[in-house]
Amino acid sequence: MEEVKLLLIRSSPFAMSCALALRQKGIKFEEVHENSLPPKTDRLLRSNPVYKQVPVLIHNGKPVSQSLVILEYIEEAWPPSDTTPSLLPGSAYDRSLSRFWADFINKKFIETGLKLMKRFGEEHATARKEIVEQFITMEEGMRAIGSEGPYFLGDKMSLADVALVPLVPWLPSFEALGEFKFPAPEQCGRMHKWLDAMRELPNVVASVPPADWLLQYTATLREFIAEHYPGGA
Amino acid sequence: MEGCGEDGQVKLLGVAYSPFVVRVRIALALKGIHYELIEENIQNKSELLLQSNPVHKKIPVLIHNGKSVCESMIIVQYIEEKWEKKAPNVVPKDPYDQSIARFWVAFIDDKFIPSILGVFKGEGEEKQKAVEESVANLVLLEEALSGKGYFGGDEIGLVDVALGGLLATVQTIERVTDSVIIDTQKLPLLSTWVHKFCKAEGVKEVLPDPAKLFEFLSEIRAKFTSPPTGN
Repeated sequence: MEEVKLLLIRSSPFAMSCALALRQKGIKFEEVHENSLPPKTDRLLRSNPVYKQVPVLIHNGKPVSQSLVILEYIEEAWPPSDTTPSLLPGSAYDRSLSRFWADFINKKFIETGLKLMKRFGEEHATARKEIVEQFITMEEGMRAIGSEGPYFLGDKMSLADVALVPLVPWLPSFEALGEFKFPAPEQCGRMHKWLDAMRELPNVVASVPPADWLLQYTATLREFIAEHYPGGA
Repeated sequence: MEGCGEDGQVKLLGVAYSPFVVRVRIALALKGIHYELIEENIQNKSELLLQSNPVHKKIPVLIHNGKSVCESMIIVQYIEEKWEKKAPNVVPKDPYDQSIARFWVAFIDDKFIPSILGVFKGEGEEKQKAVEESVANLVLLEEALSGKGYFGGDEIGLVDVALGGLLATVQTIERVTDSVIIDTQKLPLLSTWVHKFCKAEGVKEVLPDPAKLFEFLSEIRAKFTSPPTGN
């Protein structure tokens, strides 16, 4: 009997990606909600002693942490078959493309998004500018790959799309916090096609919090940070 | 023509002293793949580099039959998968072992490299803190190595390539900043691994010239540290 648990907190973008990957693969798993405020549980500290953070996948008692590592593990441990879809394309080159964009999304886009939420002053202004630039970079990336979409590589979801799923509920929060609008479909057609396609998927809806919950959450978080950490968190 | 044969046309855009380029060169050497090394001028990036890595504009970039692959460890995995049938295989077969290898590769990039950069750029107390952090990071890697010859077991694996590519740079940073990071007392297993790795086939041929690397890094460090007091 297989036991799969995902340690997560509702607002974690990295946990959203892991939850989506598990659902795409049709894997039954238990969502274990960790404390979003200190103290961290023993369970979390034991299963991720190096980073002490969510998400952590626990498969038959063995922990895997760091979201991109978890995503690659999910692909390998439940390999593609007649009944199980793949999260990575077949060719080495296409796999490298998907990995490249997943890495860009995690290291740049999501990091910028987190700064937009948690920082103030000049850092916030920079994050506001960068998040739009990075949105455009992804649009250009999708166009350079040359498929019709709706996903990065074409008509199948891969790691890059899974990594970007937090944008679906986050978009209204970014626009509210930064007081801006992302470029319209006329300028960024592929990105909007991607957003439209992802929003419709039941697996996505199940793996992310509702956009207005997140809007409320980020507004409250930001007030809390402004009060306790005026420099930003 | 160099870099064009049964493996196709393989070009590597890079600079000999970059640890990220060294990682890729190790991976290519292990598989015996012939390639053309195109030396870039970082101060004056070529059109080819800007076109083949428009997002980051950084080396290394592997161009295989005209298609570009960027980011050193993504390139290493590409090499592994494209030439899967050529030994050695640096990525473990077992999914869980794979996840452990990928975890440590990410740790090296996300934690160890920034701490090393902290040593390189820091002075006084800041530098000391960065040295302590770097050593603490290596202690975790030492534990991951435990009783094995290489991180990959009996043969060089993904983590060996990821960390090994950085060695010449780390050793040079130690000299340039007068610090000890690969402390033989605190890191006995890792110190042994360093000696073993640097002598391995495929590795020793692609390690940067220590004297040139020392000169290069000294020049850069001089730019952001204060000159000695009293002249």
